[in-house]
Amino acid sequence: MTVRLAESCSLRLRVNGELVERSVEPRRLLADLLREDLELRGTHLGCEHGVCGACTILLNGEPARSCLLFAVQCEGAEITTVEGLAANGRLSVLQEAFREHHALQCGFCTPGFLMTATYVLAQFSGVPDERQVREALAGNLCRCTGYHNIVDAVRAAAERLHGTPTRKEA
Amino acid sequence: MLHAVFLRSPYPHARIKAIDVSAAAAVPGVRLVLTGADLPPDFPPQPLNHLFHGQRETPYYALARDRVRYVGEPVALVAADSPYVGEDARELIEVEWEPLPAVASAEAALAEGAPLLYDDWPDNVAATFEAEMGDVDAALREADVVVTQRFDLSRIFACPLEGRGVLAEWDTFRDELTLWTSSQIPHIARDFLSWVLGLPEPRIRVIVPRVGGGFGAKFHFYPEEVAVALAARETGRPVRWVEDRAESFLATVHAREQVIEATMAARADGVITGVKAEILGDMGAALHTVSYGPVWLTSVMMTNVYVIPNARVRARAVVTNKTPLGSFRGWGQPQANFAVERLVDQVARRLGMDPAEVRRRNLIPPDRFPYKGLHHVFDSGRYEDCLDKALELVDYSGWRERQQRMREQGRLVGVGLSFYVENTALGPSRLLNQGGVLSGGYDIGHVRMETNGEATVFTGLCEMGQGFTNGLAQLCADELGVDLDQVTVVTGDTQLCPVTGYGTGASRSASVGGAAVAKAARTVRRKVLEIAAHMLEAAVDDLEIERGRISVAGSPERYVTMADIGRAAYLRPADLPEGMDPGLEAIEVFDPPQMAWPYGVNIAVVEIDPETGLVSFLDYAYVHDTGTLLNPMIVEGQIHGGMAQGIGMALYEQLAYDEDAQPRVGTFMDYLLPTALEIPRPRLDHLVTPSPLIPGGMKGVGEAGTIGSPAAVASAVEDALRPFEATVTRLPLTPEAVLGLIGKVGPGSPVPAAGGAR
Repeated sequence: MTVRLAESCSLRLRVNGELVERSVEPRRLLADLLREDLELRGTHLGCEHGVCGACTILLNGEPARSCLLFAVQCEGAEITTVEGLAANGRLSVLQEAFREHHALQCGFCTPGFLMTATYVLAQFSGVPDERQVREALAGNLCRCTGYHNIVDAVRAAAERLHGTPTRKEA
Repeated sequence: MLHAVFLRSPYPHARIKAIDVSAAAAVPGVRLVLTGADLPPDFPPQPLNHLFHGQRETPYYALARDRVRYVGEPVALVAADSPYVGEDARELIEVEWEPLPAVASAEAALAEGAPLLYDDWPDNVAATFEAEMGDVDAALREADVVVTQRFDLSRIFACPLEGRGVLAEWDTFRDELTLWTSSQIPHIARDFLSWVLGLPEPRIRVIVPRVGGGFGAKFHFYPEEVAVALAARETGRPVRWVEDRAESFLATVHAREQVIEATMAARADGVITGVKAEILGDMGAALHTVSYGPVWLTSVMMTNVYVIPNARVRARAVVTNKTPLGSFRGWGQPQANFAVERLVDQVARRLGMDPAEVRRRNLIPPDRFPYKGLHHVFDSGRYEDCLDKALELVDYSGWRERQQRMREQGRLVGVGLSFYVENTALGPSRLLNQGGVLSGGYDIGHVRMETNGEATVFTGLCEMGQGFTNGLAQLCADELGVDLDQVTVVTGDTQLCPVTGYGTGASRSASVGGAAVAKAARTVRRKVLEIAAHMLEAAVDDLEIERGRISVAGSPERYVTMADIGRAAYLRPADLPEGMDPGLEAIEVFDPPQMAWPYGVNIAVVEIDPETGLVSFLDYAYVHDTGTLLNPMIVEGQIHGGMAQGIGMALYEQLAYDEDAQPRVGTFMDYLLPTALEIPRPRLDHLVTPSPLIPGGMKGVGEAGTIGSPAAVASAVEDALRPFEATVTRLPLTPEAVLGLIGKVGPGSPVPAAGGAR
């Protein structure tokens, strides 16, 4: 058996609004592109098989697992990572709510929850009830908090955003 | 920087006859391939921190030398320019294996003619521990009711969401090693690295950055930490290894797995008179950093919170061809709690008494503290108050009535409870050392006031999400009289931080670590007041500190600020009192006189779907007493998280192996962590009985949530299944297992009929 190193492909995409042009191996994971090449280390790898949700990013506005995507699949895409949530040095309403509600302990799963919840908040015009929030977050694993404070934070953020239902976190 | 990947054993038990790394080493981008054969003949095995009396040696190395004893044991390291290249090359390593017969369970390991893991042992028993008080045999003879049961606790593990990671940089010119590692024991890791690598301790700096959860799994010194350091030395370049999830299931210590055979004796009025237990711990392939500590702890916790005068326990630690067993939040306490509380339920059932009432009759009363049990001395408690509060909080009698009505409608609803006590503030050093623990039980706090009047706290403890950094900052701020944002906490760096006696575990950071930091802050405060008194020409006793301003009582306009004090201490020593040395810092030690013992009650109300066997929660109450609460929000967060892990243990999690000791779990599709949908929000309340042993009265709360929740859930499930006369004796209570208890999954099912089901 011999190992044949694949050739590089050129790649253009937008990450947090900025144009990124890179040459990458076809097998390079999007998560590795973000973390290692772009040094956006807020995206965390907790399982590398798409279950834990820590690596969730927004791909063209929808949540996706960056551990299950090759970077080259994102040609032309618009990607938002956790680093893209705060604007001008100010935390987003959701991030602020996480902080106020002690919705994170070790913080490893937090970026994934923030990305999923950012999307979820954009789907509701009012305040989702507890069950709705729990269902929406059930694709993200947290080993520290037991989830209650995360649920509270998401609902508190929804309350604060109420009245501007179409707002999207930058 | 190079990236390390490990080749791991695919066999549970095998001899390594030869390894050919030439093809792997030839892959472009590969800088080093290391195997056990590259270790010098006298290279030491991995050291242990816990050396209990009489335990056998189970040597294992940074890389396996000539034999592997579990699937996942590290066999070779490849260091390459990227992990992608490293993994390519790993495929090309040729190992000639000679598979050996394997043992997959503690009972199989004890069977006549079982394969031996260590050839020079007569059997597979690594250690035995026995303890006794009173006369159990007489208690059993004289009892009105005797219940005996076998309990099976599954193998699970801490499963922090961030796996382990190691980065080593070996400055070959200065011969100094810096090792970043996701550990709970930086100082122990430094000392062990020194022993194994032959490099003096001062030349090794272990740095623990913020860690993504540990829960005990990182209270271990792992082979990868040594192997990555060796790779850094060999290549002269920084080498990084990041554990992936598949590795984590195999190579991070497992936990909990035990078989407990226990007997409880009671009088007709519900008073428990004796307990005896035979505990079999499945240690996996070797005794790891904490040896069989968790199994030992199970054995000495078998009287729980009750006045049980007669007890006899025996714990045996047995080696099998599975991943080594180690720490997980609660250590051996959830297992003991499960067995004892299940037996108490059985006594109640046999006597036709309410299970809450049986517990009430046996609780250690407040006037008996300090109370000497089977092994430990419990410091304080108001157990009955706690029980009452929990019963009231969940509306216990109301639920009993509702349960009756729901049962009549054919619904399977159960109410279950458990009472736990938790061992915290682990120390004192003398006791730990006498018990075989190498490190001590003290903690050292270092507080330094800086030139700008802000304070820095240095601690060898490690932050992995528990929030103790906040607690220590609060203690320091309170002692000094400054705002919280004036305190910075530096953790887990062996070059900057004082030694932490034991490490970050055993729910000791707030209590032992906190007491040490508060003590150091108090010493700094004294000097602050002396300097201020000199500057204000006032007496020390007339001064007060409020939000960083030191003023003369009654004359708030006469003041100096902490910044003035900081400046004087470092930049203008001329402003100091005559004869006072410049500088403003203190290092103080706290070694607790005994351990502290928080306690609590879990009450679970569950409903079971008779068609699917699925357990869901209708209610949950959690009332506990952990002494003084430094930060109620953090305490509640610890309870929430611990409880979720306990419920995971009760209902979902299991690291299954097949009969040949091959793991059947490799992904989160097989190992089910609870999600936001499964965990009930508890009604949570506190009692506050300050520990008499700890200055400040904090007891510690890190592990509490995991200890009583499995037993409470089991109790509720059994109660719900009363119509089927089922007895819950094993975890997890998966839908399949519950259907087995109902009788819907018959013989031949993949799930063994639950032990004790009649």
